[in-house]
Amino acid sequence: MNDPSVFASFRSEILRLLAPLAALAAMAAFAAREIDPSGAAESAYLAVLATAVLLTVGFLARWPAIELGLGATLATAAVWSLPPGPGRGAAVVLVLIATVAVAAGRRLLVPGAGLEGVIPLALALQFLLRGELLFEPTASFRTLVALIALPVAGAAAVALLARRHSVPFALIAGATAILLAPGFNVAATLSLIALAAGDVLAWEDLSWRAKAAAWIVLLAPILWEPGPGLAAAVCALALWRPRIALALAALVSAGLGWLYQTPWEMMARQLAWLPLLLPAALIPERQEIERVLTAVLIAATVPQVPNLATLAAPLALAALALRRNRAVTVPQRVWTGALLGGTALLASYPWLREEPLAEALSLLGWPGPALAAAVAAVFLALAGLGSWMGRGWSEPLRSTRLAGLAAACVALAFLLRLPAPGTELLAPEVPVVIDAGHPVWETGVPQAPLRSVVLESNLANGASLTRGTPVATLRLRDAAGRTVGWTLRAGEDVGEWAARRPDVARTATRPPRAWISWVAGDFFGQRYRCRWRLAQPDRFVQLRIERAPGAPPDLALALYQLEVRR
Amino acid sequence: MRPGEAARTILVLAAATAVAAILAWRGPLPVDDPFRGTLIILPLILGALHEIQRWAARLGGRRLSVQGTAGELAALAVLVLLALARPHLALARGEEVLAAGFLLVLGCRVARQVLALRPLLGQTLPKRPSPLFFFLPFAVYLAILPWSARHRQPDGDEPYYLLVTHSLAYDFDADLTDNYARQDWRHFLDRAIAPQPGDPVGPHGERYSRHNELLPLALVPAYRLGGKLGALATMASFTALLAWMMLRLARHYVRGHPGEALAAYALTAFAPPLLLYSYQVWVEVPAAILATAALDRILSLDGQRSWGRKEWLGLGVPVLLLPLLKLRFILIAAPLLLMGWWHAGRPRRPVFILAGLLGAVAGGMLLYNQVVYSNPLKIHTWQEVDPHRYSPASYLKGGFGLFFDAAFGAFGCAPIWLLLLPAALLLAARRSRLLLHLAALSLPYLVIVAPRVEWYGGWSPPFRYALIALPLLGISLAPLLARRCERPGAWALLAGLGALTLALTLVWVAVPGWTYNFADGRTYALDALGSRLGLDLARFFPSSIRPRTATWLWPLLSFPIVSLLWWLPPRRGPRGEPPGPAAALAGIALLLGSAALLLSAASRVPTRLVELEDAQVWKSGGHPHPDRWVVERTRYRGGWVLRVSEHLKAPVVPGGRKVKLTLHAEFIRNQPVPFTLDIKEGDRLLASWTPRRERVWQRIEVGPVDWRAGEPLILAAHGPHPPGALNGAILDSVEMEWPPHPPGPSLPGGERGERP
Repeated sequence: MNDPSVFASFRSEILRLLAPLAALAAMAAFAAREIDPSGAAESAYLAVLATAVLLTVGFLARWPAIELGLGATLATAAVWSLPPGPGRGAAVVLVLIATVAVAAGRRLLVPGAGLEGVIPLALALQFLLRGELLFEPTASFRTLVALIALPVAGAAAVALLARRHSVPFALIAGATAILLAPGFNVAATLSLIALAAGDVLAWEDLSWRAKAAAWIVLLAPILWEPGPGLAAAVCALALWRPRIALALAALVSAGLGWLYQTPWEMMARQLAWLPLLLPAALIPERQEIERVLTAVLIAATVPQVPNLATLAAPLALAALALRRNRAVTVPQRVWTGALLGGTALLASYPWLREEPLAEALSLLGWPGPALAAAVAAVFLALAGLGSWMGRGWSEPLRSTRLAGLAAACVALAFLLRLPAPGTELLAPEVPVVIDAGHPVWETGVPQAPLRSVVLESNLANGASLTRGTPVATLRLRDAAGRTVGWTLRAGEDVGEWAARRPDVARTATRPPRAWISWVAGDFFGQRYRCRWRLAQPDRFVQLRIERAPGAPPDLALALYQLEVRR
Repeated sequence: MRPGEAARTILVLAAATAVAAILAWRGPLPVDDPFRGTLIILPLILGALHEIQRWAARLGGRRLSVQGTAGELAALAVLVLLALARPHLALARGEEVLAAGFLLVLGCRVARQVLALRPLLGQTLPKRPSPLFFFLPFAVYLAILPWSARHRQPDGDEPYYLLVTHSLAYDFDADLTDNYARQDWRHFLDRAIAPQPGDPVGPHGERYSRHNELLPLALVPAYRLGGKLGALATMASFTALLAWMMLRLARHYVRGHPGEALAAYALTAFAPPLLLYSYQVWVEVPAAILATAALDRILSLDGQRSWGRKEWLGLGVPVLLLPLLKLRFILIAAPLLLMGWWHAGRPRRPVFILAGLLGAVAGGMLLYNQVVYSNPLKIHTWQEVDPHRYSPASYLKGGFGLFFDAAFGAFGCAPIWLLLLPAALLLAARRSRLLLHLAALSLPYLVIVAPRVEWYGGWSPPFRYALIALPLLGISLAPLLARRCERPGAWALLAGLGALTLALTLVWVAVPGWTYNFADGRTYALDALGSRLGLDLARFFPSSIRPRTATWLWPLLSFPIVSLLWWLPPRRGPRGEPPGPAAALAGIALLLGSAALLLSAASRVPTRLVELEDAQVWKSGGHPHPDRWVVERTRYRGGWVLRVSEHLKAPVVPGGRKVKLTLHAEFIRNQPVPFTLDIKEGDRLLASWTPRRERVWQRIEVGPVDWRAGEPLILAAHGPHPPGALNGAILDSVEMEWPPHPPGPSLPGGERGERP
């Protein structure tokens, strides 16, 4: 698992554990003495999350494991020095993601790197992508399976796939699979395991017992969920008998489409995930055409039961069939890495998004055929450029420059989608509360033409409000006294802050998607964000927020941020 | 140097400047965004670092790994994106976190480039190190300048130096009367400044600054060109020059240890306290340059009795400029002159001439001050500089404070400097001349500076008065760092203290205001922790301003502990692997474990003294006493003014079941009505104090009384409150004595609180 010279030293291995455990001691000691109960609960959660990730980094990092020491110190420093709240959570998670990225890079980007670090890496990614499971964790069988067994099994499958398809392609396949869920859930893990079983069938000199076992594993997903399981089995078969699998895929996709009555539009949208996540699959090796076509057919029709993770098998299959050319693989690796980083960030505290991959992609544009086409176009341009660069430059230089170019394209794409700078009207994390006692709040606004107002807020005692109930009105007044107004509605623009508290969650109407979360004792509190787009840009002098006249007496609206955008 | 290469560098820097100019003109961030300056200067810094590395590689330096550079660029791209998206995220402290992120990436790059520069020093340290050793720190200082300058207004003496600079630059005089009247401070400051108390006044009412004009003169050209940022960039160049001079000076002491000298150089240049001074206007940095330059020339004399122009200028100019920079630096100049005389084989003529000139300069300054300001020492008195006036305790407090004080000492702001302790032992054991030079150069100066009330340098960043010795202190680490590879303790200390220094450096740079601590025995960082945890953490750290057990315990313990740890016997692993990396991880684990232990101790070690103005004491109202900005605050008993209807709550860690309380307080009567202060254990009233005498410090003794674990000490003021100023009391502290047995009656002279 580690460098041979170091692995032999028991003392060194202990020290790899000691640094994260010491960080745990420091953070836990802090949490135990913090006066603010919510702050203490958040500190405790961050301590557990950081320690879990750092322990895996301990086994992932190459000696001398500088990133482990630095990561432990910086995570502890962030917990100690930053005020409790989402800002601190975001800082700690950024430190952890950077630590994992450096450790993985140092482990996997060296020439001739093996898969020694794949299990710790899988565990680290699981802790980041499904960090919510570490909040007030219970040592139940279900939690242990979700946190440890699934990533270990998934990593073992990736390691098996790497034997025939080389490390980079197996890693791309694994990364693509866990992007969807996100993390190693049952669907994604079973898909990877089935693919590994299908791949094992293709090994020469395999005993009949091994073949029988591989078949059992390959077909096992069908028992779990027949539709997606069958799709996964066909994808797995494609690694052994591509043509037979393609024929079966045609039948299975037709059957699934008929059985689940998937509309064409839905199929197109589902299929768009393939070029979105794996644009390199658009230019596969000639001998891999059957596998890619199998992936296409299955990806278009596999039912998303329970969620997007059922696409893991076809997409991972497509990843294993990518063209073995650095002009193609280098941009693909950069793209997969960027998606993994973005998804991990949005899946982690304090963002805790339900669909972090879609949200990460939505920073570039709404995920769908249009975005897929844009991604594919940029990718093909990069691949073309990479092929052209291959004529003049030696290989390491080409790869480096191509990677840099791809990263620059990703950064530029995010940059271009950033909204125009606005003006914040409130200090961060210092809410203004509008309730029956204080029904009105108003402030001046910069006298530049405004296009929109962004409001970050939540409700207290608003869980029982039906969707669409007006809770407040925003009014902008110009210098001449004319006003324009917009109604803030429960369930659409704003929701209950304690919507995730079990007793509230049971009875409350479904709130809108949360913008950001924070640890509020033993559950996650939520804030919501909405945007009021003005019909046309105009100059205003005052923003006034009034509580809706018919709102329940105990209803309170907390404004966390108001941003006016030009 | 080939012309083509230089042209390429110029082209790269010109292109970077053009991009920076475009960003300044049409940048994506609004004018008031905290990252605007950083993003504008970013292309220039990237270009500079790239060119420094390219030149390093050309001159024989190591190449940087492509993966490392790619990682840094990727991290930078993420940080830039986050900086641009930050206004929309509305996260608390998001700016500081991002600033720390930028600094981490910069630190990573600089660490790699410093290592890459190693071959440029060869096997023995060169007489003239490559200019890259100047440009690298200069680029780093420039990189942090926009953030620091935006988040920290010039403070302490800085605005006055800048005002003199402004006056010299635009009025061509040092008379500040018109500058105050025209509010010229608006050019570099957002708040108004008035003449400092005691500033000299000329015969016709002219307002002068107490500060000399030499440093402002040096800043004038850059100030005319670039205003405040121009002046600060000049200071950054001075600081980088000091780092380069230190490396140059190192050849006299550790010629055969270029690697260790490089490590010492990196520590001095890129860690606090020098890093913190790089963007500030203080005379200490230029003074250190002059002293280092003079010492370098002196050590090059090597018995040379007949002096040429180089010797005259090399020694004469710094020695004569030092007092012109600040009169107290004559105490550095004089020992330098003596050292020059000694090292040149004790020639009479040069030393007589230079001594005469130095005397003339000093005498002239004293005479000028006497004539113009009616005081030869401007604002000081001869008594202040009389060493006999001070007790040995004053010397000890100031001397230890310069290094150990949590707020103003070198170890407090950058604990990696604790390595000076074993380094000093090593130098003493080897009878190194470095130690002798250090003592000769700094002792006369410290004898005058250390015992003063403001030994810490007044309102200033840490280690101000001793900064002049920093180059020699840095070099003194080099012998220690030799052969560290075999010592596990050395690695553990380097990693543990290095990690703590890194974390603190991130804090100091991200929140520049936190380096200006109040002289109250605490620090901003400890206060922030104390108020969040409700624990008195400051009592575990040394303070020479508010001496306590830790003030003496830290020097006594840290000397043997750090030294013993450093010299732990070499041990290799079972397979003969070097102990370094494993020991380094152990050091970091030790650091983090110590942090946990600190909190454990803070919640277990009994409370013996509660300073009532401290951050962990919760207050419903009131204000500190004296006012935070009072001059020479350390002369007052710091306390908290509690008025009628206000109360405070102090966490208490019990040391037994019974306690005897002694409250130190002073009654302030603003109304002819009664005033009572209740002393409570939680909700239980222990005693009430109804003072009769006003404006007199009194001891109020209570107990021994029972004390329940977990209960806070509450002091609540009450009484009639007619309109107008309220009655109140200045509450200094509460001593808590936890007797093992019931003690006897209370001490005479104290006032007893009335039992309910």
